[in-house]
Amino acid sequence: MTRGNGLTIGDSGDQEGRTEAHLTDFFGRGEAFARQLIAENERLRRELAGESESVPSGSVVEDLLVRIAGLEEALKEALSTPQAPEQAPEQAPEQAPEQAPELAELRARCDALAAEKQALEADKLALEGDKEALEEALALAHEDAAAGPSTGVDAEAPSGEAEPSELVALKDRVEALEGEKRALEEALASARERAQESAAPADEAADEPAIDAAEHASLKSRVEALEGEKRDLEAALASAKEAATSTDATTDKAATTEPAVDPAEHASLKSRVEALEGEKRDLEAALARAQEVATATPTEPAPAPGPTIDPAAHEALKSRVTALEAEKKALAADLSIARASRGSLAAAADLADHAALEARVFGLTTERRALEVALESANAALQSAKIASSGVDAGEYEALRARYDLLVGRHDLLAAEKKALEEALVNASAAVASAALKAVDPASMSELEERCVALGAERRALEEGSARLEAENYQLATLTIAIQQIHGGKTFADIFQTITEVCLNFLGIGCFSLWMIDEPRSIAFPVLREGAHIEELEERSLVADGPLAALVDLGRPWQGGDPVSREYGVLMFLPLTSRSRLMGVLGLESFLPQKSELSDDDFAVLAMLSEHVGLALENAWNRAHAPTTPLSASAVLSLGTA
Amino acid sequence: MTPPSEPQPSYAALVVDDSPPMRKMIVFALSRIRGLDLVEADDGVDALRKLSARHFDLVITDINMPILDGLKLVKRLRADEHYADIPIIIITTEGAAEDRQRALSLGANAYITKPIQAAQVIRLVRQTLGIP
Repeated sequence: MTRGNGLTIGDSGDQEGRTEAHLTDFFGRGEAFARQLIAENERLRRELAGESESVPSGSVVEDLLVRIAGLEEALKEALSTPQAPEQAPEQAPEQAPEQAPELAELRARCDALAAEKQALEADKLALEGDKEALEEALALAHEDAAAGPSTGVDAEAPSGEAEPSELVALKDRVEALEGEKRALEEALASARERAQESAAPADEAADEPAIDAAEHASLKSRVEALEGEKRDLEAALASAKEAATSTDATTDKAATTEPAVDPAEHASLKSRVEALEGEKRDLEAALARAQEVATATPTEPAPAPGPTIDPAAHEALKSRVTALEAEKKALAADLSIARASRGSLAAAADLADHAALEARVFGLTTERRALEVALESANAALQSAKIASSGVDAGEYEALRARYDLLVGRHDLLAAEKKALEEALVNASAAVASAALKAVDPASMSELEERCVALGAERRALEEGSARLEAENYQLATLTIAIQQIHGGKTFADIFQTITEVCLNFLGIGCFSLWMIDEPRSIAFPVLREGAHIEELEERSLVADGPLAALVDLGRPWQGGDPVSREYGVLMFLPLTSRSRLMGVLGLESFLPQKSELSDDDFAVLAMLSEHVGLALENAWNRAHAPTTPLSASAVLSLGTA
Repeated sequence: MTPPSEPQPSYAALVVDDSPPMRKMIVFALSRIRGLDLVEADDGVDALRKLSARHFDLVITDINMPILDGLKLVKRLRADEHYADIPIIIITTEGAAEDRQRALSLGANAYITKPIQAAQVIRLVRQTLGIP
């Protein structure tokens, strides 16, 4: 099978199949990691150089990265999984000869582990056999203990009475066996301690090879198993002692009264002795095995203390990986700097403008907040000042406020009650009307319907009349307000401003001009123009033929039906008179875009202007040239009020 | 004792225009709406000052005004969370379509041109405030 990176791997048999699968995964991950690094390197180099073309990659680097990744993976597996070497490749990659020593070591390590595993499994089988034997002995001891004092005559027991000396011998035998058992337990404990001592170095060397830890774990499990067996034995021994003690007591008691021994008791004791002897044998066997293991462990050839790969090579590889990662980080940092420089060069001006704008916005926002705070403070002070200036103290104010709130609440309650009553009244009226309709005959019904139609028409007429009245009312208000504004002006400037506002806002005239009269010269000259340049206008004669001469001839304010002089290229020339004296002329030139013609209401406004603006202008003129005489009684009387 | 009249919903509207007669005409027209309290402002700055002093349910403003014109006033109000939801009606002599579009895009709710019809303004204000 040929991989993309050129590595060739053999394929034969089951073992080879597992090896291939392992190697496929093994080198696949290494290859992916290497290609990722290569692609990253390519990209970084391209971006740093600012080139769009791809930069050729070095095959040496690629191979090195592949090997680094593979060795890293093998190292991790060797350190983390002791069983992994069983699946180590039996055939090293042809194009990675540097890996052969490490792989051979891994394979040797795997073989050693397999042998140890087989030995441990044999030990395990032997211990399981011991355990079964102990369990059987324990079961027998339990049965004996339970049946000892009270069971009947055993089938094999002598039917005659046992001699007391024989019983004493059996008891001695029990005691001897118990002593032996204690000795065995002590020996077992000693063997366990030695096993623990032999395991201690493995614990201390936690960073050392994984096989030591496995052996240690195996020994520890065996010690624990032996301890469990010991506890079982102790329990069985306690039961046996209890049974023996009970038997002794019965025997002693019987000896004082009945010198003869019970045959059943004798048989039980014999059975118990046999069981204890079996236990003894089993314990001796277990002790021998434990001692063998405990003594053999420290003397066996120590497994390889370090990893299966040379630590120096491992450190070199780790250093190489660290160096490559540092190089990658450095390239990434250079790339970031290059990007930042490129971005900053492109947007330097924008950034400066942006920073200035942001500073400006921040300043304005701060200023605005300060103004808002100041305004709130001023409002609060104003409110306090209002309360203070009203002559009401705070307590009185609060009392009045509470009284007001109470009244408002009462008012709301009454309003709600009134609304409910009105709704009830409406419902009752509807019910009455419905009942009345049912009682009305068809002829009356038809008459009522006609009446409804007539009332509807009348209602519409009233609504239209109301709207018309509203419009007239508004028109009158317009005139009133305009007149107030016009006569409120004390100077020409005030009056000119009012004329402008009325023309624009009330009449929709977008372009107009105001002319004043030069009486000595009998001309009109422009003083104001809205919507166009005043310089375009020239003086106009009042005596020659033309629109202004016609206005002089009119001798009064303009009224509806009078000529508007459209033949002179304007909408209208409006005389501004004070009685018969022509004070000025208002030339209306064009409408605002949204206005197309003058309505009757507009003409009414124009008539008002013609009559009142002239008066206002004359008053302003007189006011401007009147002597500054104080308003006094003598001055008033001197005017001849009578 | 005269029983209290049925309580009317209370609204407040701010009329902003630099032309006194125009302000008076608008106030006169809208004074027909019961429960509507009308306050006048000379220009945009005066309007902001009065808006900060009390609550208003509606702002009616001209565009061409000194110091702070109507469009800037709309922009300021819409940018401030306190006034962002106040309905704004523009009443102006500027009748071009682009002027209307600009005002509406800045956040004005309605746009009508002078000379006004009183009934039109009353109807629009009722509709905006939800007054039947």
